Amino acid sequence: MFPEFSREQQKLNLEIQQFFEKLKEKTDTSIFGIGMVADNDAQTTFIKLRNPVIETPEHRIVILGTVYAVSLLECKKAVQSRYTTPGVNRFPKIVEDMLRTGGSSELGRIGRIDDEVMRAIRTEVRTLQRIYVGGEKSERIAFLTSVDPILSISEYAIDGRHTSGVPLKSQLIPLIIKAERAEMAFTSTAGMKVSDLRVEQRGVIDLIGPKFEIKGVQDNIIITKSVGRERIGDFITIIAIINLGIGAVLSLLRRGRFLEISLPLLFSAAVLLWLRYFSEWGKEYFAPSEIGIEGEAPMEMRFIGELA
Amino acid sequence: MKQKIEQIKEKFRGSPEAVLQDIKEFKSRAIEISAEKMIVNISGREMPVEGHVLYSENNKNPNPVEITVTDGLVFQSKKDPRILVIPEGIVEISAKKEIPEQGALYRKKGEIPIVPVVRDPDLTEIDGRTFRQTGTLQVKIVNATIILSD
Repeated sequence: MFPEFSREQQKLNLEIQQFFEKLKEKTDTSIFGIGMVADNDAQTTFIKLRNPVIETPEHRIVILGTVYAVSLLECKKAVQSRYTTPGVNRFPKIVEDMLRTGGSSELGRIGRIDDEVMRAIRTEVRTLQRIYVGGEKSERIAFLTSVDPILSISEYAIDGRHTSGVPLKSQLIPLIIKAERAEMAFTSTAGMKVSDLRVEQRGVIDLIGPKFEIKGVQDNIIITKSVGRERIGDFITIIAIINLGIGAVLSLLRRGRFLEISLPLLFSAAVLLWLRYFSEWGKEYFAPSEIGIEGEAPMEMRFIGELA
Repeated sequence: MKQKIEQIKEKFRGSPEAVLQDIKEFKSRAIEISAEKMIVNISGREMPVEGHVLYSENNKNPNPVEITVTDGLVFQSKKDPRILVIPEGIVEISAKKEIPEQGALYRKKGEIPIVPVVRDPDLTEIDGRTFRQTGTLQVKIVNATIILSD
């Protein structure tokens, strides 16, 4: 089982307590909006951090510059939703296949897509593959230098050792982040306490010197899939064409009962072709496989920080 | 390189007029920052370094030093565009160097390289203290003049 950060958590708890004690002392509301504490169930899809220090049970990672913390599921969703194909959108399926198999053969089948877009999607998925570790995708957080397009961090100090050129892979939660500054949009059903004892349920905040404890990731992403019965559709088309051909030849012979035999063949061909290409049911049933994505995968956290 | 910077300084003394500049990324072989107050964070070093004059250059790496103003307003001298003035802000100094094998591999595949770079300015001096092959430098400055040299 993943180890806990007992000492770090205790320290954070103590700081939260001290912060509230400080607030009680300053009952005068003239110090309006000095700080914000979330000790319950705050959620956000991404946090923009400046100069963060990430404490995991195993490592201490120091990064210089602006960094985005995003759940891996959100990261994958971002790539899947960023591009579309004309007609039926097959990009989510392509991203899924590329992540699973590592191949990009599907991309070649979409001839009409701009070459630049194909290059970009390939690069983004490769980046995602670098930070995507094994099957524990839902319980990991990625730290990125850019969200659009996705770029992984390649310069950081891990346990005091400077690393450059090697991408920082995603981190297992729970973890604690300290940063010089942070910006994020949050939601909280229980509400968050501001220093003048107001309670906010959602908003966008800019914090100075915040500390976050990322506790988990909520997987609220709903994926709707259509199975993709293209091959069955192709088979029906071939049968219909064969029936049509035989029926046409027999009807042209004009001998004996050939014309009578040809009629059911021609009729069945017409029905099959109508079902496959012209009926609403056929268009939907034999449509190419696709994935539709809805919802979000926000990070669950506790944090303490002073409002900027 | 340092002589060149001195020459630029001399030239600038006659015309301190500067205009607000939207561009926040610059490239140069060497850079000198003189500031009233300066705190330098070096990637990989826990403790920041304080000083007043910073000089950084790439003498081995063929790529130029990259300067990005991440926070603060940038004023550029009207007479010499190589002189920048920043009242207060944060500047990042980096020198990107491609890892040859990985770069070639990505170019062959026709892809945009993802992270085949290391970042290390070859030489940095902060108030006479020399640092070699450091990571990215993040410099917090107050009332600073930046001189870029070719």
